[in-house]
Amino acid sequence: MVFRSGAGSGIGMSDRPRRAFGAASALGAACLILSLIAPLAATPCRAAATAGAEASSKIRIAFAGDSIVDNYWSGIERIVDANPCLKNTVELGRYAKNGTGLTRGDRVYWPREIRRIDDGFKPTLSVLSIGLNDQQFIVDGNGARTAWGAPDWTDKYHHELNEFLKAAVATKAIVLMVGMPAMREARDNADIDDKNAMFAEAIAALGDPNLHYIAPWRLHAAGTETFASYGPDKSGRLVQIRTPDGQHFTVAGEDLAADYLFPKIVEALDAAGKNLDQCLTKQSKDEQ
Amino acid sequence: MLFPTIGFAVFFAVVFPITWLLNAHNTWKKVFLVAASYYFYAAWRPEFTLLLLVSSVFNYGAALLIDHFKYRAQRLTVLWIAVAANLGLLGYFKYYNFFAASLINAFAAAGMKVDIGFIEVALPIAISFLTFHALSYIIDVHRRVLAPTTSLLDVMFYIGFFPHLIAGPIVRANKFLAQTVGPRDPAHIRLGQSVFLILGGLFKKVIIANYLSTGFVDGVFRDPTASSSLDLIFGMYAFALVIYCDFSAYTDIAIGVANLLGYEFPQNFNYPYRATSVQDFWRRWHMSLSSWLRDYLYIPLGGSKFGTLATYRNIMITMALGGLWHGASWAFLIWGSLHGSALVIERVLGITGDHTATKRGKFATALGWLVTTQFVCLAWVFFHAPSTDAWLGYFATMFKGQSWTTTMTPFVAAIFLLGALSHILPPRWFETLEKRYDEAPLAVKVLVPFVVIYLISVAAPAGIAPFIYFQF
Repeated sequence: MVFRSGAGSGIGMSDRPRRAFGAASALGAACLILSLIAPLAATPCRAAATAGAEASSKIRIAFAGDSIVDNYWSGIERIVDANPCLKNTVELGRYAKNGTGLTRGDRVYWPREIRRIDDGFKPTLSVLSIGLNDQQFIVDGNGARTAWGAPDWTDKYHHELNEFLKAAVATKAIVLMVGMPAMREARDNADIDDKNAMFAEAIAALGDPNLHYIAPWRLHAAGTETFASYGPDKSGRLVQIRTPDGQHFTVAGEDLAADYLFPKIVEALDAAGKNLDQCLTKQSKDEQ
Repeated sequence: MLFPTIGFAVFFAVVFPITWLLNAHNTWKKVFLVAASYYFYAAWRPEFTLLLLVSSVFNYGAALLIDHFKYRAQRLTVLWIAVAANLGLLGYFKYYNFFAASLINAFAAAGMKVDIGFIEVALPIAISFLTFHALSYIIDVHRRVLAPTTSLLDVMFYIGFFPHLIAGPIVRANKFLAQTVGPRDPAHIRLGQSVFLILGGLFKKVIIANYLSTGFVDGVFRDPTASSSLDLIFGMYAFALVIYCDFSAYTDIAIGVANLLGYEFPQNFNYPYRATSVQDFWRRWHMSLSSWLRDYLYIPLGGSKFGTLATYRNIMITMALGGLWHGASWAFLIWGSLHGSALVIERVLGITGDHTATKRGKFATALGWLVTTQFVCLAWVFFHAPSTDAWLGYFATMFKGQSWTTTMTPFVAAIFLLGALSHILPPRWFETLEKRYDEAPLAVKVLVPFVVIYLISVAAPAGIAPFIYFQF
């Protein structure tokens, strides 16, 4: 009954129940074995990707953090895919983990994840975004809990943030930490403003030349940024740019955010002597 | 609170025994189940439980008022007000911004500028299902199919019962309310069927739909113009399996969970990709929605009573609105209209939904299946593509035939084939398994779900994506 849908009626015994039962059991066993080997099957793939990354001379850009960074990866991927030169020059790594953050080290401890990404993918540049899921208690790397709203919560969060940023800097990659964009809920926005300010301040305090804070994408060029589920796309047509959850980007929104973010990536790479001008000039000529 | 989570398992582990402990005290049992359902809904956003409450109270009152009036005109007036209020709420939350943007874009295309404000409120989860349940109740009362209940608790229970609340199946008021009048007989629980519906649903969602989506379909649909033609063809078929395994999984679990609590829900899927015509498809796919649309939209529009052209018009209106019910986007409207057009063409050609091999011959049946499957899968591209540019790009690239390489891994291909088996294996096999389970010793009955759930959780990809139909 693994596959059949609905309530159905009139359950009847097969005229060849033994054979049917045997076959169904075999199928069930096969399904479960297949399910069990899935994680194992992924391991050699990852190993192959790692080996490929090491051998590759491409510029490698890792996208790591919570689900928002997946939106950035998706938009940047379309920019890269649309340009054959960039496609041959740049390799993107998708390392977002949905529903994670800096608070729950017991689930995903991001400083460790950053080191793992560096070991495997060896990014030239990392785009990080985190904090969306951090309105909750903190469990640090040792399992100690700090309640959400406790007097020392901000200090603890600041500590987790520093650990995260130090791990990122230790990879020797260029690190772009992107602030969180405006959300629909007022309480989210108040939290985001605080966290973005904390990110910028912590990055400035570390003073590492490879570590940069990137202000979040804005729909409105000036004034107070407010959430808008609809906005003009590249052609000026009003389209849905944010998803109904009031947090993430739709595909059109991803493209807008990527258009904002991509020049920052190019600029940071350029400053580190990794020039993409050849691809971008060629594209400009093609577009003309 | 998603079904395939520890949170739901704990929730159900509490709700199940208490429900049966209260079975002899029907009113208290209903009070408990309503409270549990509101808690379940509040897990997403507590404030929207108010919407659930207001909808229940409003429709409870509207039904009593409809029944109170003797004259048809009076009854009809109350009905229309109630229908408008229900649809108004749905329109406000779900469609206002879409129509505002469409209007602004239309004026802009004509060189005019209009200033229409947008509303930025969260869309209450499952508002479309909630609205259709409420409409079923008041319309059935108006039609005198059902006497209105004098118990507000019963209406709150019907509209808010947690297994169907989020993504159906759409349970008819007369069928459900008849089950609320007294204690449920535990002897009527089909344990084997319920357990295998839940386990099968978990397997379809967590393993097949999730791996196919993340491993292949998402990438193909995210950037179709960067994919090969072969990947786009595979992507189209793979999405057909994803949406079936995703949506049917939810309703399977809902049906199984409701049955374990003593309540019966209607069948919602019946091997939809075995359909040999589009009409046949709609008798097998999301059956509770298609029958709802038939009874509460197509027939009130006149059905097939007023001539051929009027029938075609009614089919097109029903299917277009059925498409739009899925979401505020032109793509859903196109998807629904495509299905409507196919239904009209079948009528013109005299193809009915009931052409089995014995009636029409094996070749005609096979041809019908082939054409129907291709049509349904092609139409899913409109359903899933995130924008007009995306589906235009999808078809342009797919039909260009520029590249015949594929990025589908052997693992994803194996999952794809496993999903396809869902339509190949005969139901009798599964029925035999259920029967064996029912006859097994208690220890086996307890062990099987634990073992299967454990294996599924071990094999599951990290994180569970929300069910596709949640957004509807």
